[in-house]
Amino acid sequence: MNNPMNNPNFSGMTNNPFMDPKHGTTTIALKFKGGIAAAADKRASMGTFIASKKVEKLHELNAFTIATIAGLVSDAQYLVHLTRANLSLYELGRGYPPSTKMAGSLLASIMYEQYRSYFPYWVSMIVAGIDDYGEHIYTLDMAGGISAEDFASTGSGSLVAYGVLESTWKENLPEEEGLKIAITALATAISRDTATGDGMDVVLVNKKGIKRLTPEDVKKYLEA
Amino acid sequence: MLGPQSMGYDRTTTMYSPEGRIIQTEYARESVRRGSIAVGIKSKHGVVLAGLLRIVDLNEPDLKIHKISDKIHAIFAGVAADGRLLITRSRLEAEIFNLTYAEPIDIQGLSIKIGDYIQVFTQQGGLRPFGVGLLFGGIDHKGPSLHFVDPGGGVMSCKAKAMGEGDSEAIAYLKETYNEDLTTDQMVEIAKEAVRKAARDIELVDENIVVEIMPYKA
Repeated sequence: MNNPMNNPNFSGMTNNPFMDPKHGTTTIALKFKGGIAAAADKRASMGTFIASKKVEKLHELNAFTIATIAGLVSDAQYLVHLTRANLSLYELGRGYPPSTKMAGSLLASIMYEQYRSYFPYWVSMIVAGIDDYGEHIYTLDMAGGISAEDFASTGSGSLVAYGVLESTWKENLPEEEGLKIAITALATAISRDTATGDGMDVVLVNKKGIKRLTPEDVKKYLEA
Repeated sequence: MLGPQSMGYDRTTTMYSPEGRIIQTEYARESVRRGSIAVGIKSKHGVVLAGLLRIVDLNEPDLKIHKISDKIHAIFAGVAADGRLLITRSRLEAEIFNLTYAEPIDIQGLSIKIGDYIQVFTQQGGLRPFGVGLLFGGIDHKGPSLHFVDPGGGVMSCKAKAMGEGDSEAIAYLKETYNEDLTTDQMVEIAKEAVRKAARDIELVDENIVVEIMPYKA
């Protein structure tokens, strides 16, 4: 929870306004029985200025793995593309996909290497998905640390979101219930964190693959 | 007068024979001719690759058709270890292109990249040319595409192609039956028959013929 990324005013690169990374965001991922629900807002902020209102923060790494991004957008996009390419090469070479843990570890080792050369990728990410061994969520920090979680949140609004997740998440939730908690947690972060907002993307990962919820679906959960 | 062979012109790729041939590269083509047959057909409706799978003793059958990217497959005939290296390289090139341009690679571009790599082995000293012919088939932004890369690094766009042992019989059959309106089902039948023709007297069971279908809708 002491992650400097959670502070939207914290800058990793001092005295350089052009490379000042802003990272107001909230992304959430949680396990339910048989799958993963993930949600993220769509706002990109630069201090008090809203730089974009339609940012994509949920990314597909392969058919059953997703990543959420928070932090410096360029770093995050590069890492997503690089990981996606590497996972694809793994699958093409062997004929079966890598496990979720391998996807997370690969990304963590890329981030660790960069951290050890004194110029870390300014991101914190979640890698989540399902494989032959079940549902998995991993959080990754910019130093290359990786930890397995039942639910996770990153970004400036994560403290707000964690409040909801901590009080409502249970093991073996049904799918509907899991989605509702993820959406409620994000909605709470949107209403209490200035750097989070402009709608949400919600993704569902289950045995059938990755499914994006339509804005209508999301609205239904918010009203329920 | 001594022939080019006995003069030693066939010993290296860094020396032409007096007739302007690079005989080592021609030997490499010979090793493609000894490989198990590989067939590719392209029409308006897609691309079909087919190959003969030689099952030796109690070995598990090897892969004959290799996936390169979402919509590209490759098949090779010749030295298997050489082919494997080029397959791995093709996948890498496809991913690098995708990573750089956020677009899938075009089959001609991929074939030329691999052709360029193969060419180096026909010019640089101390290297042995690749003993494989490669067929890249698939769908890209222009539609169905089928490209052949030879051990000299040459790249050709083909309507249909056969390479490997018995390829002359297979090509003769392809010439007879080919037209640009073939459906994928027809192409599968033709490709299988071309493989059987190449196998000549040897009776083939279904497990011996591998097929990959890449359909295309305009």
